[in-house]
Amino acid sequence: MRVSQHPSGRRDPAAYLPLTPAMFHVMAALNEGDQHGYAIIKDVASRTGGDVMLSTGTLYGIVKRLLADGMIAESMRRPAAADDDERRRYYRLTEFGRAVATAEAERLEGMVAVARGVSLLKGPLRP
Amino acid sequence: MTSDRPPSPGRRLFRALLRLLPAEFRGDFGAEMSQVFEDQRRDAAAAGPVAVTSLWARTVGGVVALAPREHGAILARDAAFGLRVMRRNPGTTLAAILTMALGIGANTAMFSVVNAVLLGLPFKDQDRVFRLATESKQGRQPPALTASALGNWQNTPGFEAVAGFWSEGRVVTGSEVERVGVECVSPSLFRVLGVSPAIGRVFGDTDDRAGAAPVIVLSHEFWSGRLGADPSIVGRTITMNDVPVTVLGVMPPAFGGPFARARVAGWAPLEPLLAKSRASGRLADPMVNVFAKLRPGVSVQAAIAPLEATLRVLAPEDPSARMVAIPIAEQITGDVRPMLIALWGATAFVLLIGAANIAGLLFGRAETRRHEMAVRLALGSARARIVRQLLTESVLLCLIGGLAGVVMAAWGLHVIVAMLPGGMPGADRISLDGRVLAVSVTVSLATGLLFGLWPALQASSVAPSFSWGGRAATPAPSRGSARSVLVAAEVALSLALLVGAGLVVKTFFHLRPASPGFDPSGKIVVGVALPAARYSSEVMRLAFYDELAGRLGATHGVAGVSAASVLPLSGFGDFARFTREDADPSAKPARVFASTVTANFFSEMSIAVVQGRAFSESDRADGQPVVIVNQVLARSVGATGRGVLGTRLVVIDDTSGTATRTIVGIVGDTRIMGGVVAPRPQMYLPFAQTSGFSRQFVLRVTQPIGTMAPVLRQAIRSLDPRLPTGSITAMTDDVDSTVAGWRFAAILMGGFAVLAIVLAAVGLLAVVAGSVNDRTREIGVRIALGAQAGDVLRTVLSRALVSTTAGLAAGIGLALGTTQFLSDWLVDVSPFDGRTFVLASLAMTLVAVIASYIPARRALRVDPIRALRTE
Repeated sequence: MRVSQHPSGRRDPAAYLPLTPAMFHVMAALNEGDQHGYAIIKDVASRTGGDVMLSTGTLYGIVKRLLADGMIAESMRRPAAADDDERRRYYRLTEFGRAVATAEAERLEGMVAVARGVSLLKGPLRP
Repeated sequence: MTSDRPPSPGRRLFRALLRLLPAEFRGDFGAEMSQVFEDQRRDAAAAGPVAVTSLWARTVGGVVALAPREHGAILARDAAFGLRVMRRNPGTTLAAILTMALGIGANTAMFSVVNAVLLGLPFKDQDRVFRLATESKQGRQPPALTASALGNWQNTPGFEAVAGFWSEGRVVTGSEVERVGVECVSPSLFRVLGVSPAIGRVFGDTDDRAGAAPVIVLSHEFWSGRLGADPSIVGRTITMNDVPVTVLGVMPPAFGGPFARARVAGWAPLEPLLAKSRASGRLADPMVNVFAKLRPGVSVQAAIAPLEATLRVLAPEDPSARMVAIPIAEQITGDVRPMLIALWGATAFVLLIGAANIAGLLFGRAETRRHEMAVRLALGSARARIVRQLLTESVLLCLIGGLAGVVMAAWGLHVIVAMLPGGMPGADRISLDGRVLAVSVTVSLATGLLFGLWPALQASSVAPSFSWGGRAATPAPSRGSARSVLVAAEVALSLALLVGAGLVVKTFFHLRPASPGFDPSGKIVVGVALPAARYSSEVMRLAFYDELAGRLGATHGVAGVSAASVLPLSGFGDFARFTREDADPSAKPARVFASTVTANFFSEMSIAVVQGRAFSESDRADGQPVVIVNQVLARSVGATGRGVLGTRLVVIDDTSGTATRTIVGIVGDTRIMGGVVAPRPQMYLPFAQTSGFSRQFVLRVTQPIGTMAPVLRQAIRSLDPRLPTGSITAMTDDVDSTVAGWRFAAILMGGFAVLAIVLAAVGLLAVVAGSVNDRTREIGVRIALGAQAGDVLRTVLSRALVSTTAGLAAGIGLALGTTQFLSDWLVDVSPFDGRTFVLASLAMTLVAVIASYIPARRALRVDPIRALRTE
């Protein structure tokens, strides 16, 4: 069942952590703007320098779950008719999804701080 | 954007890959995934073949990883929903679970027995292991082989190994004197059977020579029982027949030799025994059992063909004899196989009836949920999705029932094992092991799928509708007929099972009183065997037996003592050969059972003296040699028309040699081979004129065996403390044990038949009750219009009666087709016994009428006003 709107106000983002890396990457890609499936795959691949290559199965398994949890929703905004393909669906990050992704980023940041504190990581942050 | 071009192979492959995902997921994302994959493929193709290969690998991996997760999630959801549905209908659910539990329970328990006895032989490559025998008009016999011939056979090219086998009794002394069975075998037997010792080693060719130091490999049972599982046993000696024998090793627990005997003390080399017997001149031409392992890829016929030639040399007197190779599994389990398979088949019938009941219940439930299905279809659910969810429910129901059944089986197995006829090979291995549990789970699962499918298809075949109105105006058109077919099938299966059970029970009752030819009540059998080393002369043996008879007779509670070398029902016998003294000198001596008995044996055993006299004290060693024959033998002796009494026979027997004996009496027949086999020609010789090493005393007692046994053992020990006391049994038990197999089968078959009938009756009851429910308004209107009770009953019973009649007809057909599988163990009862068929049909009809009438009466109590008001 598709969940596009979710009464997310009372939900605690921390309850959804940790996210899988693939899930986080998908949410991160959508934070930049609404995208269709193939664009998400390409965005994640380029953002990770080709380290994370999502398969269609992995992507749509994640999309289904994020839709069900109300973290993403189908976007009503579509490109101009000339560039559009009716078979594509566009997805957007919901407010709740953004809160969860932020919480995950903070969690990861905390972990990195710990790694620096015990000298597991040295030098400046990588760009 | 569609294209008329046929899809490319890559696209077709991707679509095929998507079929791994649930239909629901494909419906939501399939088209989108295809589009994304097309985009990826286009870009990868531009980048080169490495990118294309890597894309395919990633894509296949992703879908294969996603599919089980998605299916699992749906399954969990459907199962949770199914459990809620079950909780809402506790009565129906409980009935279904109980039905399934009974079917699976009976099936699991019987399969445990089949698994241990028929499938659990502890031999490696058992398909290639055979017992070699000769087959002639006399039936199957081990080939008559001398040791040298066995040596030749061991080099037969078609066989990997050939081994000789001979069993003998030995007396073990030590803390306790005991007579045990030892199997004397060629060293190659262990290779033939593919078994290794649990500890120590087996013997080799150097041990298997005349004059070699005596050695033995012990059975696990003897080692753990008698020797307390002494871990340092290897290399130590035990005393057998007053000779120290070195223990070389101990075999694993499940191993009982090539005949899978439960009570074997161990295995010793064959050759020293053959040499001893040749030297004594007693058994110059011994009969050796032969076991052989076929080389891989060689046919049995090709392997035994060269042996036919040696057979012609060894046994030239019987040109009809030919070699046969009996598979080891058939050799060991051949007797019980048909019975166990038939019993297992009976439980399959019970399971099918139970499953049909469950299908009936599911049809009933489908009817009450037609609106739920119509609304779900109207809301866009796929029919396949609904079928899948209903199947999950039926599988869940069957799995829970199956689990309860396994618990029931664990309990029932104790009862079955306790009832097993003695000596069933592998009985000690019977348990609910992994294979049994796997089969039970698979059967439960398959039942849930197969018997849930039809009702699920039916339930989902409603028209989509949002109407939540009251009852459906009409029941699904084919639901009633589906349930009628199920009930007819249940009646048919029950009737076939009832007929089968009837035939087995009839055989049992036929055998039970089958006069064994003597009166076993109030008698105890005491077996005594004298070791040849210490009782070498006949004088010593006779003196011992006379003294022992006196002491046993003087024991409190003993009213009479008689004895015989072999008792009726023992299943084996000593043989003697004879010719009439006045016969043609070239006539071949006939071979008959011979038993040596005391003078009072016939009166003590209540065996009738038909003509002439019994033995008397005057038949002494120095008197006229005499013989008494049974009626079967008398008929063949007297076949020439001359009188039997007074006829002189030249009798050759193993212990007393050749003597010309006069027939002084004819006695009634006894069943020497057990309760099933017709009496055989038999002669009796007086103990005073021929003795033997073993003797069975028959004591007529006034007290129960429990109190007598210790006193009798003491009496034997007081005469010779080194003598094994052998077995002390009640003769009625011995008689019972000859029909134990039939009793076991009769009780189980009867039990399964009763179970089947109860389940079928429940099924019938549910159908008629359903029919009454469906037609309450119609019945109400008819009663309001003045219909009579008979008319109303006819209305609601007609469908049940048609089902029952069809079921009875099919059941008779089914029984005719299946009872022939019982013919192997029906004795003097035809598998098509008319009376059994008629009685079973009547009983089934009666049950069907009662099961239909009970719910049908409810129709008579329908209140027309209320029925019409619900309209």
